[in-house]
Parts: sequence; structure tokens; C-alpha cells
Amino acid sequence: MTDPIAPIPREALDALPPETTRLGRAGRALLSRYPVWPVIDYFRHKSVPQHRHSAWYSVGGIVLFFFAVQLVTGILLMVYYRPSQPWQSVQRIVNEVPYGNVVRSLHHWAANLMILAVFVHLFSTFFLKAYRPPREGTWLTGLGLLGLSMAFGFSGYLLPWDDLSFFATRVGISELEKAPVLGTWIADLARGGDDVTVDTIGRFYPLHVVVLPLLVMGLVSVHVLFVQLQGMSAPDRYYALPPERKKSVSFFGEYLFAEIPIWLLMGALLAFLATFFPRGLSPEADPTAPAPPGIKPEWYFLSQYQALKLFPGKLELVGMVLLGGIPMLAFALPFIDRAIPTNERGRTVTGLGFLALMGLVGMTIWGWWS
Amino acid sequence: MNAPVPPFDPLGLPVTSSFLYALSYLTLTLHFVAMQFTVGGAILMLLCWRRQPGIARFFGTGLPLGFSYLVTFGIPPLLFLQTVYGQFFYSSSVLVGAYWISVIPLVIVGYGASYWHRMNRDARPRHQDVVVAIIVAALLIVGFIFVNNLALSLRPDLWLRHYAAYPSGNTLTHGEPTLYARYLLFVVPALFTSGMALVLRASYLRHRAATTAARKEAETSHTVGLRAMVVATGLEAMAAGWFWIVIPDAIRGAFAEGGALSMLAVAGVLLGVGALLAAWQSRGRSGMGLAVLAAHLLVGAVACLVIVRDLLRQLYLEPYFEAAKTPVLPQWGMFAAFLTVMLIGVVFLAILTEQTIRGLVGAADGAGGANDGKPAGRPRPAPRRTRAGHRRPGQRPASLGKQ
Amino acid sequence: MNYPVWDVPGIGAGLIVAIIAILHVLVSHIAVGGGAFLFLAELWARRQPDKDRIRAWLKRYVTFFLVYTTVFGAITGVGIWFSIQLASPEATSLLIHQFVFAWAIEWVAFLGELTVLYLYYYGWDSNSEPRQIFLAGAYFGIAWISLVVINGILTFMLTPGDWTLDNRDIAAGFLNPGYFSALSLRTMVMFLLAGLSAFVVAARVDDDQLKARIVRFASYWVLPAAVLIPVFSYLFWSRLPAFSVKLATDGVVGLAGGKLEVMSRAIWLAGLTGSLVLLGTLTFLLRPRALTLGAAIAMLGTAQIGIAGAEFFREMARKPYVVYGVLYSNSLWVRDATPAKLREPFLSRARWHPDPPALTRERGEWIYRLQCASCHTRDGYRSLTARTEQWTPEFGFQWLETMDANGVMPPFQGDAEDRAALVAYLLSLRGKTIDPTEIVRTAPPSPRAPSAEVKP
Repeated sequence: MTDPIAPIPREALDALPPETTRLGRAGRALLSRYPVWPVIDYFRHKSVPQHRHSAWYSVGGIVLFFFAVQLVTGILLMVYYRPSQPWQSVQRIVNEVPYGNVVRSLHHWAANLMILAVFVHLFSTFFLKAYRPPREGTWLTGLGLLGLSMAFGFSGYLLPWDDLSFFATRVGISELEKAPVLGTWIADLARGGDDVTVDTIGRFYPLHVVVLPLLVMGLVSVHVLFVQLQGMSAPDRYYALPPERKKSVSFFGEYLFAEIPIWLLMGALLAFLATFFPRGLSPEADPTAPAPPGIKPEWYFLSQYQALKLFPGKLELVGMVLLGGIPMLAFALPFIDRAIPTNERGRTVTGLGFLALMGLVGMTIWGWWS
Repeated sequence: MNAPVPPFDPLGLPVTSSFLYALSYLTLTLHFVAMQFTVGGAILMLLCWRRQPGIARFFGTGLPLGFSYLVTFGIPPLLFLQTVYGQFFYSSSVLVGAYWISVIPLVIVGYGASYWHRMNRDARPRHQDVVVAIIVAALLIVGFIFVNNLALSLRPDLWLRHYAAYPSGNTLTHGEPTLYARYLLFVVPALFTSGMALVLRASYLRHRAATTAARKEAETSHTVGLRAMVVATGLEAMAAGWFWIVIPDAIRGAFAEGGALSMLAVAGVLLGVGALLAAWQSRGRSGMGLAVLAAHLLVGAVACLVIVRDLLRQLYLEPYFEAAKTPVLPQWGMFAAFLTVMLIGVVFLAILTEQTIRGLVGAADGAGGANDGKPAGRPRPAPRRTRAGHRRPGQRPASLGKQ
Repeated sequence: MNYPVWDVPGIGAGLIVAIIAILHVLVSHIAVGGGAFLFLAELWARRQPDKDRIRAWLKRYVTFFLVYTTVFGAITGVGIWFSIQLASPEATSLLIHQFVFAWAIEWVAFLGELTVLYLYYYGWDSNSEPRQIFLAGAYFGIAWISLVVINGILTFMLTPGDWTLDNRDIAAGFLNPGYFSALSLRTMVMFLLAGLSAFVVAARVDDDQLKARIVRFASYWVLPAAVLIPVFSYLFWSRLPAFSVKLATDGVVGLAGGKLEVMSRAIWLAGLTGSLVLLGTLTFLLRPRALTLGAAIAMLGTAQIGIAGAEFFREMARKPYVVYGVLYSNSLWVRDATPAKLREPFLSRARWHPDPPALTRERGEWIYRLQCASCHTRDGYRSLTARTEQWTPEFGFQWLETMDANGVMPPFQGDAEDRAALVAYLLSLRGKTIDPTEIVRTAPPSPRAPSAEVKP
């Protein structure tokens, strides 16, 4: 081999399989071209702590799995979807395109499960106090990803342009409109006018298929990079253990292989839902018709929607400010609860978080039944 | 008569109904004995929880098996019941459908809890009495649902009003005066049979064990067992009195006429009293003979009352149905195949059970396994007990109790 | 219509049967295949140098196996029986009366299965080696006999073959066209599930080397079965009634289903999950020490979903019958479905109703309950509110008359007044008030049999 760009480090040669094997040759060929040994070496030693709560680590992977499903099924749907004839093209996907209804149902269910998984991931990291320094960056990017996921859901929901999606979007944006100062402006910007029209699809469609995917992929990369650089967060009790009792497993050697079956189960679950609970298509949206009874936003907006109803009339503004405060608090969390100098504040925060979770679930159920 | 009784199934009866009755009596007797052992055992467990832990432990070991055979011996009576009385039983089941299907989760909870208790009672002794209370509740509710359904199946005149008001089967039987007396008649003997199991256990412990602790446990077991049997006898007499008051005049008249119905009822009562006396007399004896005799008398009593129960059903359903007049489209070949399989199965299981239990007893006695060195493939001669297909309550649990 | 219909709001009686059955199928197949696994594992363990260690693992497997199969398996099995009595008494009665002694033989097998399992388990320490192996083998043999019996009754419902109500030929009904392929298929599924259940117990083994050996042993149960299952599935498919095949391949464009109808999707689901199980097993084989309890349970869960697909398909393939060609899903005997009988006023033949006045919504509700509710619900599973969303009274009135034309529904029983009452009831579910008298008055003459409107 002439002109080796990168000399292979000694310890790499020790770790690689012998040159007689195919893998050994491939590894040497790679390392003699690209100086990536430090990266490989890093991953070789990456490990996952094992303790009572380590099952929660799986949830992040599950979110990524659902996102991958969304990318694949989303691209397949784009093949037949026409933003100029939204309802007709979706109807064609459902009724004519081979496997079209299955792909659409998979996309629908993976979207819902992904948002659910994001919430579970959020609360699990919250209760395990994984947001504390030095992991503020992971927490903040994670919150950003939650916002993007919900934006994905909101923008995608309108695209079929049927009765349900049209009126739910109209209701949703009109709630936004009531926000102080910038409300009207943002709502008009989103709608492309003062009502939801085909022009709204012209905005939501590129947002849904280009802008948001790029943003999510970028932010996910940063989020995962942070996790890689800092390692997985573990409960305080784990850190307090003496080194010989700190159990951990190798990430690529074992952890990943135990995660794959769980992703397979998630895949099976998606297929089950798509089989027995396919996504229906109601009649084409008719903006002039009165809204059908019982129109509600999707479940992940329901708690906010229901909470706003608690503030009738003039009080609505108060409600908006209060509700808007919650994400602000979430962003500020790593700077409030730093476990320094004592854990006193941490316990209060956990209690508040529990209240928030109860409120979220309770409001969602209330919204569902009312 | 405004009763929507469905016509008999177009396939008719597979064999003459007397065969089906006989099979049903045989298996229902076994079902009742296993049921009484399990229900009564669970109740006695709760009652003895603090003061006689040995008894609670004995039933705790036996409950999962009791559950298992209670279910298993419950299947054929239900099968033969559906063959002869399907048009009544299916109808009433639908009428109480929501309750009827909840039998399944209730049994799973009770049965599962009995295993959970047995596997965790030493490692996690806290709140085990709550687990036992759950088992008792599950069993008592299931029994009540069964009595409801079967009582309703005898009253086609109530059906239409019931169904028009509750087409989802979300109510239990209304307007059947005998319901609660009937329920007591089925539940109270559970104490009698589980008391008998304790007497058998006492007898076994005396027979086998050499230590004073075991002898003391035997005394406790006998005392509690006998007390349960006496209380059960008293309560059952009261339940029978109540039942006598609330049954229709025609049926009371049928009892008074004499004949099979009243003779069997008297025989059942006498056998039960005999069992009680024999159990009482077995105290202090080192041989197991008298206690085993008592257990046999008890099974005989249950068998008599099973037949009485069916004769009562025939009286109740007389206006609507007569099994003897139902067409028989025979399946004798299949019947013969079944009898053959059952015979082979019972003999096979009897031999295997005998051998394994002997090995277990040997191991428990510290004899190092009575079967070692014997070729296991060649079974020993069939056991002396011919009715090995059913087990006397208490015998196996007694041996397991020592594990 | 001889029996009352269990009117379960929102869910429907059929779905309750399906839920219990799908749970039962997984555990019952584990119960049988696990027997074969125990037998061979006993033989295998005793030939290993560290047999005590392996048998200690096997004891854990048996404990899990015993509790899971006797509590959950046995009781859900009884649960199927309880639920079919409620969902379809007429069909249950038919199966019981035709196969009563087959059921009884099945029961003997069940009794034997349980007893032998207890002897095997409780005698673990005291039984001699040959007896212990004999008991394991006997357990499997007896358990498999129970499959041999129940399989005849299950396949009978879909492919009764030459059996008819008149000849009542039990041999033809039992050894029906679908019998052997279904038996082979189920036997393979059993082996596959036995391997998957062994992974669950293997996950808790601490010694990596022992774990790897157990995982390899268990995977020999999964992999061959995974290859053979598609073969036997094809054989089973080739024995299906032609109309079932047509339904599954053509697809019926449903209101929500789209091109690939639910029956076809169920097959797809079974195939997909089968492949996922295979992938998971290969993952375990590739890195046995990585096997965790969660991962092993995930594969059992995946198999459970696959079973849901396969069993759902088997049930749906019978449409519109409960016993193919003999008894419709709503308990109408095919031999009673003559044009003359069908057109009699329905409630005069049905028994279970308080005789509500003709041409009222109440009458419609009773017709719904006694004719539709065994498959449909008002607004839940197979919702009639959704299915009649586009209906006008006139359309519904005419559609009901020929609703059996596409082959997936039984014929309507009743006269024009019954149809009008039913339409009024169904449309009232969406808040529309319609006068049934008006429907009958304005309806055009029936296209099928103009004279049939004359009441006998």
C-alpha cells in the first residue's frame, strides 16, 4: 500500500481481526484511508449503565425507530400525494394504490406512537433528573424535538383535506389567533390568509416534508451527539455505588442487540394497528358547511385545548399566559434544579413534575370524554 | 305459556340420555368435591390465618391443585349439561352474559393468586392474608354467578321479561325465590369437605410422623376439621330449611311423595352424618382406615345430592322438556371410543400417580426415594384403589404439605 | 333466532370471543410445543457434562410453564367455550351435539396432560431418570392428542367437506379437507413458540456460556419451524373454500379499509410478524449474551400479534357463515333461508322479543338486536352508524333486501315493514328521525319478487 494517508495506530492493529480474515482486511483498508480509529475506539468502549431504571433508556431508541418509519412511509406517500388535489389523491392512495391504505395507516399510527414515545421519554428523563448539569444541552434539544414533533403532527393532519382534518385545523389555528400581540399575525402567516384554504396546504406541505424533517434530523443529530459525548445519565444512587458494583453493558456488543427485538415488536405493533384500526378518510372538506359536531384537536393538543376552556371569555388571555409559562419553565428547568447545594429543590421539582403529568393526562382524558 | 324455549338441537341426542346423566353425575360429584375442598380450604385458611398457621399452610399448598381439578372436573358436567339441556342453559347464560363471562377473569385471578401465594408466602410474607381474601372473594363470586345462571335456566317463564329489560346480560337473576337458599346449599358443604380434608390430614400425620410437633399439629388439625364439619352441618340444615320454605308447592309435594327423590335426599343426609361420625371417631387412632371411610362416605353423600339436584331440575323443567322424548341420532362408535380412551387414561394416570406419590412419600420420609433401583418403564401392578381417577381430598396435599 | 342475542354495546360478542381466543392460542400452543421441548431438553441436559446446572435451568422453565399454561392457558380455554356459548349458542349447540364425544376425549387428554405435568413437576427430585423422561414424553404426547382433537372441530367450521346436516358424517366432518394442513401448521407453530418461550427463561441465566448454549438449543426450535410454517400455510390456503380465497385476494373496498381489505391485511400481518420473529431469533443467535428478558418477551409479543392476524383471518374466512354453508353468522340455518321463509314477518318467527308494534323504531331495534348484533355494534366494533353514514332511507330499504348479493352478509329476514323499521332505527343512531310508514309507502316495487310483499 503506497502513500498511506493515515498510519494505522498500534492499538488498532492489536484490536483488529487478523489480516487473513475478510473483516481484518476491510478494517485495515478503512483505517489506512480515513483516520477514524478514535471514533471506532470510542464506540467500542461505550457502555450503558445497568440499574433498576435502565429500561427507560429504550424509549429514546423507540422514538428514533418510529421516526425512521415516518421517513420511509412519508416518502412512499409523497409518491402519490398531490397538494393541488389533496383529498382526491389521498382517496386514490386509500382505494387504488396497492398497499396504499396500509402505508397511510402505518404513517398515521407511527406518528401518534412517536409523539407518545416522545412524551414518555421526556417524563422519564425528567423523573430520573437527567436534565441536570452537565446535560442541559440534551434536555433543551429534546424539548425542541418535542415541539417539532407536535408541529409535524399539526401540519400533517391537514394534508388529507377531509372534513375532520380541515375543521380540526381551523379550530386549532383560531386558538392560536387568540394569543396576545403576535397571535393574529402568526395565524395569518400559517393559514396564508384569514381562513384555512388550499393555500394553507401550500404552506403546510413543504413545512411537513422538507423544513421539519431537516430541522428534526439536524436537532436529533445534536441531541444524540450530546448523549454520545456525555454518556447516558444514571440515577444518583448508581453514581454512589462503588466501582465494582456499577454494572454496565457494552453498547454495541450487547445493548443494541437487546434493543433490536424491541424495535421489531414496535414494528409488529404498528402493523397490528394498521391492520385492525386503519386510518379512515371522511368526505372532502367543505369550508362553507357547518363544522360537524364534536370536532377536537388531536390528542396531543387536547390537554391545552381543554385547559383553555377553564378560562372563559376575558380570562382566556390569563390562561394562555399560564399555559405558555409551562414550556418556559421546562426550558428553564436545568438552570433551576441543579442539585446544588442540596437536593431539596430537586424534590420540589419532582413533585411539581408529577402534578404536571397528572394534569396533562387528566386534561387529555377529560378533553377526550367531553 | 309465554316462554321462548328454543327447540332441541337438530342433531338430537348422541346416545340415550341415561348414559349422559350417568357420566354427568360421576364427574359432577368429583367437581363438587374438588370445589368444596378449594372453597372451604380458602375460607378455613383465612379463619386459621393467625392461630393455626399449619392449617393455613396446608391449604395454601393444596389450593392450586384444588383449583386445577375443580376446573378440570367442572368441564364434563357442563358438556353433558349442554348436550341434554343446552336450550335452557345457553338461553340463561346469554341473559346473564356479562356476569357469566366475568367468571373467566375471576377464576384466573383466584387461581393465579393461589399460585402466587404458594410461591411467595415465605419470601414475601406481608399481606399474604389479603391475597387469600382475594382468592376467597373470587371463588364466592364465581359460585354465586353459577347459581344465578343455573337457577335462571330452570325458569323459562322469567326469561322474556329479563331479556327485554337487560339485553346485554348486565343483570343477575330476578324473581327466583330460591336463589340465596340454593347458593347456601352449595357453599356451606365446602366447609364440611375441607374440614374432612383436615381430619384426613390429621390421620395421615398421626399415621406417618414420629415427632411430637407433628402429633400436636395432627390434634389441631383434627379439632379444627371436626369443628368445621359440625358448623357446616348446622348451617346446611338451616339452608335446607330455608330452601324447603321457598320451593314451589309442586316440588315440595314431589319430595313428600317418596320415591327416588326423597330416598336419595335421605341417603345423602345419612351418608353425610355417617361421615361426620366416622371423622369424629377417627381421633386418636393410628390407622387411617376410619378417616378414609369417612371421606368415602362424604363422596357418597355428594353423589346422592348431585342426583337429587338433577331430579329437581327435571321437575322444574317438566312443563317444557322431557329428555326421554328427545330424538336420539346415535353415535355409538364415538361413545365407545370415548369410553375406551377414558378407561385407558384413568388406568394410565392411576398407575403413574401411585408410583410418583410413593416416590414422593419415600423422599419425604428420608428413605431416599422408594422407587430408586426399580425400572420405571415397567409399571407396578395397578393400585388397590379402583377409583384412582379421583383423589380423596387431602391425601395428596397431605404428602405435599411436608415438602 | 332460536336463542337470545347477547347485545354487547360497543364491543360486540364476537370481539370478546376473539380476544379470549387469541390470548388462548398463544399459550395453548406453548403448552403443547413446550412439552416436546421439555422432553428433548431432558434428554439433551442429561447428556451434558454439567447436567445439574442445565436441569436447574429447566426447572425454572417448567415452573414458568406450569403456572402460565395451567392458570392462563386452561382457563382461557374454558373462556373460549364460555364466550362462544354467549356469542353463538346455536353454533355451539351444533358443535357440542355433533362432536360431544370428541370433546369428551379432548377432556380426557386435558385431564391426563394436567396430571402428568403435576407428576413431572412435583416429582422433580424424587422421580427416577427414566420416569422423568417418560413423563415429559407422555405429557407431550397427550397434549398433542388434545390438538389432534380440537383441530378437527376448528377446521370443521371452515371446511366441513362432505358433512351435511342430513348425513351427520362425523368422520367426514372431523377429517375434513382442511384438517391435515391445519394440524401440520399448528404443530409447527407450537415448536416455534416453545423455542420463543425458552428464550424468556434463558434471559435470566447469568453464565454467558451456558446462556449461549441454551439460546442455541432454543433457536433450533424456532428456525426450522419458521421455514416450514409458510409451506403448511400455503397448503392450508389451497384447501380454503373458493369464495374465501376470492374475498381475501380481491379485497372488498370497505368504507374505511381501502383496497387491501382487513382479511388480506390480517394475512399480511401474520407474514410480517413471522419474519420479525425470525429476525429477532437471528439476533439472539448472533449475540446470545445480549438476550434480555425484555427482548425475549418482545418476541413472544410479536408472535402474539402474528397469531392475532392468522386467527382473525381464519375466523373472517368463514364469512358469512359460522359453520360454512350450514349456519349463518347470525344463527340463521342455511336450510331455513328459503325465499318464502325469509319474507315472513321476522318477529313472528323469532322468539326473543317483547313484540313491539310494527313500523316503529322499537321494532327496528329488536330486528337489529336479533339479526345484526351478533356481528355488528351500533357505534363501536363494525359500527353500523359508520356503515350507514351515506344511507338515505330509500337506499337502505332497498339495500337490505339484497344485502346477501355480494356474499359477505347473510340474507335479510323479514318483510318490507321490517326493513323499514330497521332503516328507521339505524338512521336514528345518527339522530335522524324517520317514519317507517313513509318509507314503505314511497318505496318502489321490489325488484326481486314483486309479489313477495303480500303477507301470508
